[in-house]
Amino acid sequence: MALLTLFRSREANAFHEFIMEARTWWAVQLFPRLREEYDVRKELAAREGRQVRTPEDVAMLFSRSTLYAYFCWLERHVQKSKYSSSRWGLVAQIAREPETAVARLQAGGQLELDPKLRIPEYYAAHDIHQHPGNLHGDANAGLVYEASALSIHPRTKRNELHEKFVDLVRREGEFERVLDMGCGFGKSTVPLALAFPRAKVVGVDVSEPCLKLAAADARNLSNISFRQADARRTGLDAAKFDLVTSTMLLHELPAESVDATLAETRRLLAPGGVSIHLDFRTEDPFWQFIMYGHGVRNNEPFLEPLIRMDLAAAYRKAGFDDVRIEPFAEREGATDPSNSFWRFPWAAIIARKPA
Amino acid sequence: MKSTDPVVGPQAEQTFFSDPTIDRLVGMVFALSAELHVLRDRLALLEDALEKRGVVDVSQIDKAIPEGALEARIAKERTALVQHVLEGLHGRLASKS
Repeated sequence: MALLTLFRSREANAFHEFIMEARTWWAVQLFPRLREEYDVRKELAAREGRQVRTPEDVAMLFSRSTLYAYFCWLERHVQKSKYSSSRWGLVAQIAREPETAVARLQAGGQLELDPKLRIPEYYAAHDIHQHPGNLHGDANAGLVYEASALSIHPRTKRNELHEKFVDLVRREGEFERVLDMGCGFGKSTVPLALAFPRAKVVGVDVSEPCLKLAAADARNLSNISFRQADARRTGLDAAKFDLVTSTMLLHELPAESVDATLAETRRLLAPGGVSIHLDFRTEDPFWQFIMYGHGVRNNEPFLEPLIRMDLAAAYRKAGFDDVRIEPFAEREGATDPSNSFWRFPWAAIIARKPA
Repeated sequence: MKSTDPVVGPQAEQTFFSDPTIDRLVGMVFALSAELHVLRDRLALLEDALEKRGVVDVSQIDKAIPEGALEARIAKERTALVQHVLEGLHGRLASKS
């Protein structure tokens, strides 16, 4: 069976299978060699009396590395080709198959759009993930984002990350009123609605094309609805949710917006309510260096500031005293130290509003 | 790192090698590799279908000479391939960098 049936065009599907293969090679074959080179370079530096303690120290080690140059090049250009290749890139190919897009986006679902919503300046200023026009720029942006997400996490099955996230949520309790911030095309929201069938689940995002896709795909679920809103000020009533989540939202926000989103999280939670924001954390200088570079190469300028941020202090400022930051395995055994391939350093930030 | 050549502005591509020439050359190699895979995929599908139907003896394809509509189709294909392989050379992005 073919890996991908994204498009009617077999050639386009074969192209994206190649892209996925290249991305996997980068993660599974090239990255471990980079890590080995790091260990050698660090050892040589130590012999010269130089210690490696910070991501800046790591950057110095790799400043003349050919392997690192290719690592960077592939990270940048596999993604660029996936989105922007004129021949079969996602933007071009989805536009070439308008019947599929129209059929999916007009299927309905529970969605409340806000025609007065202003797209935040920080959001419009960058084409994150190298997505031309960004996640809100045209009617197909949600479909493009959804297709792109298929090849972001090598060696992880489709939806596996979000199912693992739901497992984590379940360990924190049973929930009846759930808000998913920055829900995108609903990839995180739908598993929550399925896991808590008696709960009312609301997904909010600023991107109209993503929300249309989310609502259309979830139209057969009666306990889920979507609303166009800025996570920093949702306009929803205070203290109405017992669970507020996000996955991969915080690192797309400038620091002051992270603060505003955490304050809004607290405002929306009922007393005793739980917040779980899933994002990236690492204390390892090598991984900090890799992630800071990823932010540059993937047009995500707020990734580095988030990893540098004192999150516990930010949560305290927002009124959360009970905060845990835990490594998160997006698939079974992913955080095992024996894993040598590239993966995001996921972390779940779990906070409880005082009862 | 931004390219140091005269392509400037938000769509100037990042570069990773000491000379942007290398970045663009690797881009061509990557695009060519994708083209090659897509072509091999299609060729395998085509040969399989034809042989199963007994339409052609695949070993004879090497001796064929394209003409007319087939010749035009191959020319169109060639133009698209050249665009794909070489489009990275101008150092501009469809997205903002």
